[in-house]
This record gives sequence, structure tokens and C-alpha cells, in this order.
Amino acid sequence: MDTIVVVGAGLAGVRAAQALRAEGFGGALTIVGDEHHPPYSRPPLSKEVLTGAAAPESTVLPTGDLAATWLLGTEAVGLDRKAREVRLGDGTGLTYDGLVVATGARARDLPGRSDLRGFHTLRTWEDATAFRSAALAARHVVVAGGGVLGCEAAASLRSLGVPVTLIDQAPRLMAPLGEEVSAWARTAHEDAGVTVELGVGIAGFRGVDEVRAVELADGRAIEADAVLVAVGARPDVAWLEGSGLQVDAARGIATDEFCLAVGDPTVMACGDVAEFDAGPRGRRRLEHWSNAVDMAGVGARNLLVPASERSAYRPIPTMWSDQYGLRFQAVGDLGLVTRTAVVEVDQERKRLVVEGVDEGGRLVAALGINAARSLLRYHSDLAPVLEPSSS
Amino acid sequence: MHVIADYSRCVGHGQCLLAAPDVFDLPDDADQVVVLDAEPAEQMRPQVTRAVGVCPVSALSMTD
Repeated sequence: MDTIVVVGAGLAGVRAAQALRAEGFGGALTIVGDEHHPPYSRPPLSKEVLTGAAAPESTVLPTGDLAATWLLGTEAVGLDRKAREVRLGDGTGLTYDGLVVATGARARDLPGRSDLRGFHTLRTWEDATAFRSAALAARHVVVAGGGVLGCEAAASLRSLGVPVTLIDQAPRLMAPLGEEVSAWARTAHEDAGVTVELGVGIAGFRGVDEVRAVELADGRAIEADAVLVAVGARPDVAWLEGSGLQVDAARGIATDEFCLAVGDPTVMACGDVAEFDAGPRGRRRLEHWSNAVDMAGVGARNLLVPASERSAYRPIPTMWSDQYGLRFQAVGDLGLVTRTAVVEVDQERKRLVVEGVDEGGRLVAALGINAARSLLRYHSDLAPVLEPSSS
Repeated sequence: MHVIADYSRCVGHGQCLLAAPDVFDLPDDADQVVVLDAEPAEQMRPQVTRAVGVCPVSALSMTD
């Protein structure tokens, strides 16, 4: 393999490029990214960057010496697999022997949103800078979406003294983390002065030119001069339409258990954009930092080695979130959890450890607050359950 | 192989512990990781590489 093109210059693309070099790939490496900035870390956008504790530029990812050609501010617009060519927005193309698809995901919009001004997403440096300015000038901010991103943003806004209402149609905040962790999160937000509205959908918006209020499905209206739309992300696969690869606007690009595109082993995909075959666990698309890192590593190696030497990707996912000095963490496959049980609780030290089991009663995940070390033990317990083929 | 933690960046996420528990520790109530083994054996390279890569704040690095 002489030429590899990596499309996507976020964490997954960078880690894939690093892994290719670490695995001994000495050929030409080109990294294409649609943003004009060097690769950067997105998790701080809703925390340190939003609060102003860190400048956006401080989040740049160290890449080391990759000996790569960087095409930043360059969008991939198509893929011709017959010619093995990535088509770029400027009309030129890049040929490849191996392709890494790491285009990540874009913020989902609220369905049926009007074209009023005052709506924000939080996915890029520009998003964070614009939303921070708007929030600081706002009388009241509505955060639409009580997932990790929405919760972190609400916490950051409170630290700036901005009045916030956090809305989700689900009955719980960060629902995949289970009932107990969600309840702790809700208490933390309410203690900090956030108005939490759960189990109620958004029916519409009021305002002339600019948004002034959010209408709830139960008839109430919440004042808002800025709205953060934090309702998830959609994999960025539009550029792969017509490529013949298995892509879906909601599910991303389908890979086999080796992180290689279904039907084309010259294409590897990793990170938020990729839905991989997790063997007995089904198919998974994980928007977690650890998944981008791990999938990039396994996939890069599998792209380079002969078919007989490929290894299956069987991750033990981890995730974290920081809110109000509470560190939420989870390890394991949250998608398999059907029941959770508290095993350790310490209100004074704000510590919580929860186990998650699947339908068959097997331990498949552990979740905690301020309990990183306790989760370590679970990490090794989970390995034989979640990595059966590689043990 | 030499492992370095940048304590001006580390905020104790503990992701490195999960990747390489023999090399890193985060004692209860500690705010930053402790490097248990700054010169890990060569066979630890995959785990240490993962720990460096998974650090959310790019606080870890390794040199040969």
C-alpha cells in the first residue's frame, strides 16, 4: 500500500494517521479536513471553552510528526471507488490505495425549527465562540436536549451566572447512564439553579426575526433569547452517497468487525461516522472519545495487514462527563444494559457506583460519579464478557 | 520506553488507568494520575500507546 488518504481531521482521523505510522506505513499520507483549523479536541467546547476558562486554540490536538500532507479547509464531496479517488470541493481529486473514513458527525437540528435567529449548536470552535457570546448577552437560555452535551452546557452556563432551562422529552437526563446517575445529575442541576423540564417535548418557537420563547407540548412557553440545540448528531456520510458503500444518514457507514467497510477492504472507517459489527453484541455506532481512539487503532492496523492477520474490534467503551465538579464515568456497553443497581453510595463525598446488567443478568457496564478507581476493577471484569473472541 | 505525564494538563479523568492499569493509578480523591511505572517494559507498548491516545487532555506522552 503506497498511498493512504484520511478524510476527516478530528480525533478519529488523527489517531488513525498516528496508528498507520506506528504500524509502519511509510507511504504517502494525506489528511483532508473541512474545517480550517488544525485538529482539536471537542469535549472542552461545552466546558472550558464555553466557560471561558480555556481559549479554543488551547484545545489543539498534538499530532507529532506524521509526515503527512494536510489539506485543511478542504471538503470531500464524493468517492469514486472504481477509480479509487476521493473528490474534493475544489473539483480536484485524490487517488488512494487505502482510504480512512473519519468524517465524524454533525449536530442534528431540531425538526421543524423555524428560521428565527438565536439558535446554536456546539460542535466546532466557531459554534462555541458564537454560543458563548450569545449566552453572555442573553436574559434566559434554553438548552434543548438533556444528553451529555446539553447537561455540560447547562452546567457551564450556570457557572457564568446565565439563567438556564434544560428541556428533554425523555423522562431523565443522560438517560443511557441509568436511573440512579440521572437522578444525581438532575439534583446537581437543580441545586445549581437550572430549571429542568423533563418528559415534555418542544412544540414550537415564538419571536419575530429572533427567538423569544420556546413553546412546550403542554402549552407553556419558556422565555429564551438563545437556544442551544443539543439533540444529538448525525454521521457525516453525505459525501459517500453514490459510492456503493453501505451508508445510511442516521446509522453512518457500515463496517465489518475489522472496521473495514462492508464489501471493500480498501476502506476503513472509525469514530462517530462508523457503525461497526460488534459480533454477538449487534451493530454499534458510538460517539465516544475512547471509541474514536480504539477504532482508529484497530482499523488502521487491519487496513495494512493481510486478511489472515486482521483482528476483530471488540471494545470496552468508556465515556466521561464533567458537571459541577462531578465526574460522571461509564465503562462497558450501555446499549446492553436492561437493569441497574447501586453498589456504593457516599452522599458526602459525592461518590456513586452503579452496576448495569443485561437481560441475562450478566454484568455489561459499570457507571459512577467521582469513582474512577472503582470503575477500573470493572474494566477487567468486563473484558471476558465483552471481548469473547479475542480472549 | 519512557512515560511522561504533564501535570499542568492532567485533571484526573483516569482514562489512562483503564488502558494501562499497571502503569497509571488514580488514588481515591486524587486529582491527578500517578505514574506507577515511568519505564514500562516493551511488551506494555500497546497499552501505553492506548493510554496516551485516550487521554482527553493530551497530558501523556511517551518517548523511546
